[in-house]
Amino acid sequence: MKEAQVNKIQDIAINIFEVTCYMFPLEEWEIEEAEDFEKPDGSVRSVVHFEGAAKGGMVISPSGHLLNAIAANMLGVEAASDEDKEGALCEIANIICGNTVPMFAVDNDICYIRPPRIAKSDENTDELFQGMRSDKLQILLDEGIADITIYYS
Amino acid sequence: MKPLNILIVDDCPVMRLVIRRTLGMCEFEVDRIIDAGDGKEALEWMNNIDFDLVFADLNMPVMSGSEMIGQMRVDPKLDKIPILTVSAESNDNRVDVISGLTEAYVHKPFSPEELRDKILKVLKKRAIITKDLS
Repeated sequence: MKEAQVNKIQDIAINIFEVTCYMFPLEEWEIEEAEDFEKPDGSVRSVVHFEGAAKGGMVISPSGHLLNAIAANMLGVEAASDEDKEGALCEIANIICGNTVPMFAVDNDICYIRPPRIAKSDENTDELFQGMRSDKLQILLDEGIADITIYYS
Repeated sequence: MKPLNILIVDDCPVMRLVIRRTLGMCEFEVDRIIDAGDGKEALEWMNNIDFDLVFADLNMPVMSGSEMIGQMRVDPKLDKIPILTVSAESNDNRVDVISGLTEAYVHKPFSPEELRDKILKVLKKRAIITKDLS
């Protein structure tokens, strides 16, 4: 994917975190601080597939702190249950994917997004999208870091 | 104005809670808020309760929002219920089709204020509420 497209997906994702979860991207001068942030360890990942005018998927892996903050901010609670955390992450994956897939669709045809799910802890998500191209990007937010991998054919 | 019956149709429990929270920001009286996880379950509820407003997601398992909306619009008992579609769908053609069948389309991501404004607009348009709550 061209750098401009990856940047566009990054902008879409940041906007979704801002509007939906009230969290904001780190300013350039804050990025050094992110080195001390907890990194996503892949223990909770949401996987979403799309098909139709384009085929591919997306895997979102947040750090533990970011996962807590996503659910707490979306639901307006201090501490969310594990079920709510997973549901909130899946909803974020659904929204990011829904806003991104038109970039992959041919002739503005329709892409259908399958319901997102949480990957099993030992699941190799790369194997789900074998033979597809992929790009990785990282979102640095004031509440933590999210790794996003986009697969497309 | 009688208290409203509202149906929220979304396969994501978190999104249903987000919509409930937003409804709490609107100052109209609510009788019942019912959740459904897919279009089929929603139609079953609609056979038992008279709803004043339906929130509908599009991409759902079992029965999609589009199919549910299609069935509502050909059913004389359900075709007058205002529907507010809430979805991350970004294909312009599909959004145009859905917008033509429903009272409002709210694109995810949305802020609570944006959703609240759409709700009030739909209810005022249908004269379900008359006082200015904005």
